Order: sequence, then structure tokens, then C-alpha cells
Amino acid sequence: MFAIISIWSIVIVLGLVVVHWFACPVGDKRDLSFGGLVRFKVHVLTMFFLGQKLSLVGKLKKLVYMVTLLCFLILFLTGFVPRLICGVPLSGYTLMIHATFAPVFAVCAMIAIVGYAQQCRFTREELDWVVRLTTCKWKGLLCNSALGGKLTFWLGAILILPVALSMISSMYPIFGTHGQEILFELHRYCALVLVLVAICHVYLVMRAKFKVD
Amino acid sequence: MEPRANILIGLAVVVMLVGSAKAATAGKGIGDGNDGNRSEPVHVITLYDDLGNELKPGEEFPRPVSMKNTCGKCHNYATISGGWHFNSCRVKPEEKDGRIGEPWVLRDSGTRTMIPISNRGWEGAFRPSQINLSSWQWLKLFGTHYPGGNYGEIQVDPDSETADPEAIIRQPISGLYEINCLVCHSADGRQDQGSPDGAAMQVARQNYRWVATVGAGLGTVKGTASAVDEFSMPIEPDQAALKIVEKIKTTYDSGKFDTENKVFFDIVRQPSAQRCYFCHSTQTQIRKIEQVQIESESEKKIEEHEVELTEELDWVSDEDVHLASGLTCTDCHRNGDDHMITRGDIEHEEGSMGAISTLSCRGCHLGDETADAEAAQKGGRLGAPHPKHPGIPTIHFEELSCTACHSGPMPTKEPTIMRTARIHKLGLHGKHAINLPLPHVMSPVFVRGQDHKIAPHKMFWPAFWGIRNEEEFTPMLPEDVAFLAEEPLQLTIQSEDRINDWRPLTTEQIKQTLLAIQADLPQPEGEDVAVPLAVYVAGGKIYQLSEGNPATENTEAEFELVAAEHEAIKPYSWPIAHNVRPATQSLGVGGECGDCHSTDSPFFFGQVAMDTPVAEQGEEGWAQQTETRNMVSFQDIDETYIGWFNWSFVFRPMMKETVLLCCAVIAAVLLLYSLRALRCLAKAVSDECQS
Repeated sequence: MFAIISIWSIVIVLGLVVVHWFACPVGDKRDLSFGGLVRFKVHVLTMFFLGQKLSLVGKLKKLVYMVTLLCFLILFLTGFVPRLICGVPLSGYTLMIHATFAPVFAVCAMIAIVGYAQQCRFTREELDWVVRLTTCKWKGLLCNSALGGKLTFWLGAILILPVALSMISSMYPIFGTHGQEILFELHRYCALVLVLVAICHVYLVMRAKFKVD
Repeated sequence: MEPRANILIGLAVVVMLVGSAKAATAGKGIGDGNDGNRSEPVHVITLYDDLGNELKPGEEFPRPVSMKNTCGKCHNYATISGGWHFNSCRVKPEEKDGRIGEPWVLRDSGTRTMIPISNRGWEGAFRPSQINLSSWQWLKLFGTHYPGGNYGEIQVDPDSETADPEAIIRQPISGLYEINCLVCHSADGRQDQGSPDGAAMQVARQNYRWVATVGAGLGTVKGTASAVDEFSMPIEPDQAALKIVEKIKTTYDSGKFDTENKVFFDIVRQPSAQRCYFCHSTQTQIRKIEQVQIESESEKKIEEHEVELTEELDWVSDEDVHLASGLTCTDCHRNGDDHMITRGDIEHEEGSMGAISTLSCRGCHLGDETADAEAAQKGGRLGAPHPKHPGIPTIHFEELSCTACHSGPMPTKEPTIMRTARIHKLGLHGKHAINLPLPHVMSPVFVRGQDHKIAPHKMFWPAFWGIRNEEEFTPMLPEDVAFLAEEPLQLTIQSEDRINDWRPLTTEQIKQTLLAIQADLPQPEGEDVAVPLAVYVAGGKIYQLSEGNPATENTEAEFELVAAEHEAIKPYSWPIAHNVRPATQSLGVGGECGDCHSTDSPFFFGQVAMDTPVAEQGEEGWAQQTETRNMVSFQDIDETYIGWFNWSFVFRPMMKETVLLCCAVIAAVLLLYSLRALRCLAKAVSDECQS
């Protein structure tokens, strides 16, 4: 059941991302030629570099952010792939890798959240976006807003708590067998939502970056 | 009498007859089943001998009591004889093997032989027929700890080509070893299995026909069947039957019989634990360690040497927590008329979903969700507490049996050496008491069992001489080995040399014995047929001669002894469930992951000695060639992986604290910005109001 829900939800979110990318292009025109696609890929790649214009703190923040994403990718692969692709529960060396990167992810996520919280706070612009939404002024509503990136940031921050605490608390002699089962279910379903939020967040951040560049 | 009254009486008699006939139908004796009354029926009964005649104790040469004929009057003997205790000889092939259990062990210290035997098809055990062990020989070897029936009732066929000649001659004298119902169902403290005047002594004398009489204390028996000269017996069976009771004389205790020659038996439906204990006891052996101080120029150190094994003191050891809390064996190990006693597994196929499936650890304590009855779904039978298992990840319930954490002795770096009643013949007292240290049964050894769960097992390493046909190994009977290799095995020499309880066996002795056996092996016809090889198996290794055949071309000097491990040579292990320790002594209780998940935990890294008699004599005496294996090697788990995994638990507390700290900081940030958002909202609302 979980596998089916996971696969479908991930496919749907990725589908929405693709649709949104084509429905709301960042630039005025989309270059779909070979050269354009190469340039696009190089552009994406450069996003992972530490920009020379960044200050030391900025570089550190971006570095932590990148490590957080890397850890999250590893946790996703080790946590979801055995169950979704192989149909087996997480165990063996995969479990060890998962458990090793989990605390690293927690630390990096904490630093990233502290570092980017101020940047991601909601401002007047987001309030205006809500006003436009409620007053039916929808033209370009889904194309030109930082709200999505901020919203997914905070959603991610919130979701990290149940994901992490559900596993950590199960390691203490507090919850019995039934409690353990609930915690495990909580962990993986929250993790699934976190994955979906993370996909949206990364997409929206990259989109915003494209716009700036 | 009035004609009408006669009719009524006649009708009543007919009704009674029909009623009793109905009770005895459908394969049930009139004493089988129950009528709903929970009191124990009183058994003041007439006894019958093996010829089916009513027993008269005052006769000059009374015959011994026959349980088959006495109990069989009211109970269906045939149905009972299909129960677990009586069906291992597999007279009926359709009977089930059941899960792997304790084998019988054919032991011989002279030939250094320890062969696990069972006819149930259990992996690692050899069927009696594989080693040409007749039912008669089987009975002689294992009859002391035995409730009768089974092999004891296999009537030898004198016309059969495969019949054991000894059995043909001796069985008419000794009689059949019928099921002795009183072994289990007698609540009389006089029931005597192990004393010199008890049932076991009758078995030792091959007085199988007399076992029940003596065991129940109905009388005394003078005479030894094994000493009766078969040539002194009349050829006519009727006369022989009379003659034998003259030679082996039964004298009944007249005080046991009432005026109608009936006897009161204190029979219970549910036998007490004391009855089970005679065959199902275990004894812990304590390793006595001697500390030796070794001084060298650079350092002083103390080395520990195991000097001997000794029995654990009874009065300091505890019994199973279930018995201590008032239960008895039969509260869980129950049976119907068929005597298929529940073995603690989930046995849905036995029918009555729930009622039986909850007679297991899990079912009793947790209930069985698939059971029909609601009560069975809830669990808690007989007041079994519902375990919470706080802090135990659920993967443990998929990978481990309940017994892994709760049963057996606490795991130690080296498994405890145990003795069991049946293997080591415990419980024989007086002049026929024997002290058998071998085989060294180790427990607990954590092994992945047939149900793919890791459970504590008892384990020992088989040792035997045998014949290898490609990848198949067939053990030889010790007497056959002794016949061929008396000299190399030094069987005629009384040696007191012992190495870890074994008579030491050198590689040269092995070589010479193998040569002797190999020379006697029949040569296969045809070039494509593999030559059978003589082998010795011990300590998980096969010893065999290098290429060639001493019976044909090679000379003795050309052979070398080759020792190698082989995947077909495994230790014999069977799961244990008792004694169950109190919950506070369970593994992992209170979140102690380190009980198992530490870098040197006995659960994974306990050292299992590959016990062997193979030894070499050096200047400092005999040195046993014993190797050890990590316990994890029996669990289908990658040793490197579990080493790394357990090592990660060193950092587990730090990881938990780190993640908790991170969560606290993230929660603080969320709270801070939530409050800030609230402040902005309040300010906005306030500004709006002012404007």
C-alpha cells in the first residue's frame, strides 16, 4: 500500500513540476535546440557551485544547503528504493547507510533552517500574492512568486520534526510494539510528504535562481 | 415380576447398550473424550495381562500387567499410539515429522562416536534404517527414557530377510514394550522410573513385558530376560509364554488389590511436571576455571584454564517462570485423544482455530488475530500478561523467536554445556546410575531455525565413522567399527587419558582405522561408479584418506590423511523453549540494545567450540584440536556486516542526543518565526483598526 501511494504521489508531483515548467516558462522564450539544452544543463550544474560573489557565511550556508540536499537524496534512495523497487524492507548495509546519514542530515538541516529562516520569512509580497489570489487577479499568479519556495521551506522544516522524532523516540524504551508500529508508519509517511515537498522546493528554488540569472 | 416391568427393564438394557456402543463409536473408547464433568474419573479397575486374561495376583506364576489390554478396555489404544510420544518409528508414513527436536544419540566412547538418530526426517539426524539399527537394538540403547510403544511394539517377523536375528530370538522372551500410560498419567508418587527397583532397570534387563508392573509398584520381578537362555525355552509359543513367567517371576503386592482383584490407580488427565521431568530434564554444567599465574621477565599475567565440568547446584538454580507462577507443562502442551501434544508452535492446521494456535508464546500472550474466537484474538490465556516490549523495534519480532530473548540460560561468551535426560540418561539412580559427560551439548546457541527466525538452540557436533558416497555420508554402527579397527582404536586398552571428556584420538589412529574400514568396503562394479570412501566425521570436519584404494593398488605409506570442512557436515541443533526466564532477565529489557548489539555480544560473537576427540600428544600432554566458530555463522547473517552494525551502536547514544538537539533548535526556529508572524499579524490588524 505504502509503495503504491509513494510511487503514485512522486510521479504526480514530478508530473506537476514538468507541467508547471512548460506552462510557466522562466524566460520570454524557451530554447529547445541542442545548444540550448546543453546551456540549460550547464546552468543547472553551476547552481551547485559556490558563487564567487558570496560572502564566507553565504558560501558556508550554500555548502550546508548542498550537503543537506545530498544527505536527503541518500536517505531517499536508501529509504525508498529497497521498498519501492525491490519490495524488501530497509535492512543490511542500506539500513546502516540510512542511519549514518540521518544524523548528518539533521545537523545540516538545522543549520540550513537557521541560516535561511530570515530569507524565507513571509513578507508583504506574499501577502499581496494571497490578496491577488482571493481577488481573482490570477494572471501570472503561478509564475512569478517566491511564495512556493518559502512555503516549501517552512513545510520541510516542520516535517523534519516528525520524521526525525518518530525514529529517535522509538529508540527509547517508551513506546511498546503498537507504538513502535505507529511511529514507523508516521516516519515513512512523513518522510514521503517531505520528499514531495523537497521536490517542489528544489524545483522552485532552481526556478527562482534561473530568474535571477 | 409383571410382564410390563420386564419390558421396561428390557428397554432400559437396550438403551444402555446402545448408549455405550455410541460412546465407543467413531474410534473412541468409552473412556475417551469427556461427558462434561471436570472431576477426574476414579480408576478402580481390573488388570489384564498380555494374553488378555484377567490378572489374578494370587496365582503361582502371574503374568505382568499389560497396559494395552488394561487401559485399552476403555481407551482407544490405536489412536493414542499415533501421538507424538509413540509415532517416531513412523509405522504410518502419513504421520508428520514435526519441527526439529531433540534426537536420540547413539554414543560409544571407544570408537568416539556420537550419532544423532531420529526417524522423523529431521535435518542432520540419521534414520535408524540408515545405520542398520533395528528396532530391537534401538530399544536396548534408548529404552530407559521411554514411555513405551513405538519401536517397542514392532513385532519382529522371523521370516523377513532383514529381521534382526537377535530380535527374532530375544523378543519372544522379553515381550513387547507396550505404551506405559502410567509413565505420564500416574499421579502416584510410587511411580518409579529410575531407581534400581524401577522401570529403567527392567529395561536394562530387557524385561520389557514387565516394565509397567514394576514401574507402577504393583509388585516385584525377579529374573533377567537378557540372561534367559533361549535354548531353554519350549518351541511351542503357548508353552513358551508359560515358561517365561516362571523364569521371570512376578510377585504382586496383594495390598494393592481389593477383594475383587481390582486396583486403584491414581490417574490424572493432566500429568504433573514431575512426570514430564524424567525424560525432559536438563542440567547445566559449570566450567570450573583454574587461574594460573605466569611470570616472565617482562610481565606477570594470569591465565585461566578450564579444568573440569561439574553440575550446577540444584538448589541455586531456578525453574521455568511459568512453573514458578503455578502453571504446569500440560497447561500449554495439551492434547486430545490422539495424544498429538501441542509443541508451542502456531498449529492452525490442527483445527479449532484459536483454541490451539494460542497455545504458543505469541498466541497465549498476544492472542491470534486470525483466530475464530474473540477470546483467542485477545490473548491473555490463563492470565498471561500482555507484553509491551517498549523500545524494541518491530523488526525483532520478524527476525527472532520469542525464545531468543526469553528462554534458556543467559548467553555467555562460550555457550553453557548442558546434559539432557534422554541423551545423557539422567535420573537413573543407585547401582545403574551412569555419569555421561558426552556429547557436549551446548546451549544457548543462537541459530536461524526452520521458521527462519533466530532462536536459542541446543547443539552438539556429531562424530562418527562412516562411508562417503560422493556427497552422501552414512555412519557405521560402533560395533562394526570396533570389529574392523579394534587395534588402531586401542579398544582393548584401558586408558584413563581424557581430553575434554573424550578419549583422545590421534590423526595416526584415524588413518589406521580408515585404512581398516576402507579395506573392508565392497568394490563398486563398473568404472563410472564412484568408489565409496571411509571417513571419520568429528568437530565439523571430515577426515579421509587421500586418493587411492588400499584394497587394490596402493600401499599404506602412500596414503595421507586429509581433513576438510564440508557443508554437509553440520552440528545437530534443535530449538529450546525452556526454561523461560523472568521478563526482567530478558535480553534487551529496558532498552539495553547492547545485550546483543555490542561488538562482543555472546548473541552474535559467542564462541561455539567444534567439539572433537581429535588430539595430539605433546610434551605438555594432550592438546585437543578444537576450533571455534562465531555464533553469527549459524544465523545466515554476514559476519562483517553485523560487526559494523553492532559497532555503530557505540555511537547510537550520541546520535540520539544530536538529533534531539537538532530537532529542538529547528522547533525553536519555527516557534520564533511563528511568534514573529503572529506579531506582524497583530500589528497589521492593529494598524487597520487605527486607520
